[in-house]
Amino acid sequence: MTTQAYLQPDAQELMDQHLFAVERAMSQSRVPGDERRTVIEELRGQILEMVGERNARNAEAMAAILHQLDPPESYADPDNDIAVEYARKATPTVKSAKSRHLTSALTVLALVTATVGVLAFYHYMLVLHMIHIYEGLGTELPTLSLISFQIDHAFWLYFPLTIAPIILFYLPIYFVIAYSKNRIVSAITFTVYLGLILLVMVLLIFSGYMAIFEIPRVVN
Amino acid sequence: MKAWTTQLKKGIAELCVLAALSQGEAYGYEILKRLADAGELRFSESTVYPLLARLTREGIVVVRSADSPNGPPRRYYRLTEEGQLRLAMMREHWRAVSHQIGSILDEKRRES
Repeated sequence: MTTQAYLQPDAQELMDQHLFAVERAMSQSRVPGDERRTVIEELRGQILEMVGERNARNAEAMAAILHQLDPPESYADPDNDIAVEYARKATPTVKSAKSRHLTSALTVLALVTATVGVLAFYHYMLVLHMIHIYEGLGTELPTLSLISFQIDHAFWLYFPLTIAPIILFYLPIYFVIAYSKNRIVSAITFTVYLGLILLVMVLLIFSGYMAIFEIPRVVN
Repeated sequence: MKAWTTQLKKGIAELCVLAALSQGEAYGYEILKRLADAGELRFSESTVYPLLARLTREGIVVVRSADSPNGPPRRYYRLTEEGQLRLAMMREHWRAVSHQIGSILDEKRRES
């Protein structure tokens, strides 16, 4: 039977607490999981070897053994070159919890305003070209349409409400791409942004073609 | 002084671990004992075990498991060919550096 099987429960608990604290310190230093497991298993083996050498299986003896070992914090010690190497590779800066929370909130705000801004920009361009198309056809604007309502009654209100998101959505896009912790979010945001811009460009080209060629042909 | 010795040990930890393994394969605790037996330059487990994990990842050492009478299976580390080559290069470089440092220190002693 192995040494571990002979450990008293409170001694086992002390050992487990120490190993858990070491694992947590390494986790905070961004040490990869497989390497954390290696270190923990080596440390567990060493502790049990020391228990076997001293024939000490109670909590007091375990505490004395653990006291001889490096404290868990040393596994996250900035002077510990290995932990520093991993921490540097994993993240360029160490942010406080408050900073991370603020970054997350900014990210959400940026995504929401970027989406609203892009949609507003798209809608605004669509409205302009719808106006041009209707005028080109010589048709009265449908009074019941939402577009007609906006143009008749709230155009000058609608105009600044769309301009503000148009101006603002560039900034949120920048924040998301530059500050988001999640690279997937940044990549998706940037892709959506490019896709919508391309869509708007296609719409503009289509509307321009309609206005210049098709509508006059229909009208004539 | 403590900071300097800490930095010094950091710089030579890998060389010492590889040198300890050149004596034959060993598990983690055994490596610590080999290093402790060599002299006063003591390397702690918080330095050696993460280093062993990194060397394994880099292919400098390979690992095999074997039963242990005291607990979980022991992980025996052994130098690969690349590890032996690295050790040879590090050993050569260390000799050159220590010779140079020795010359500098002797120079200073003669001047004083």
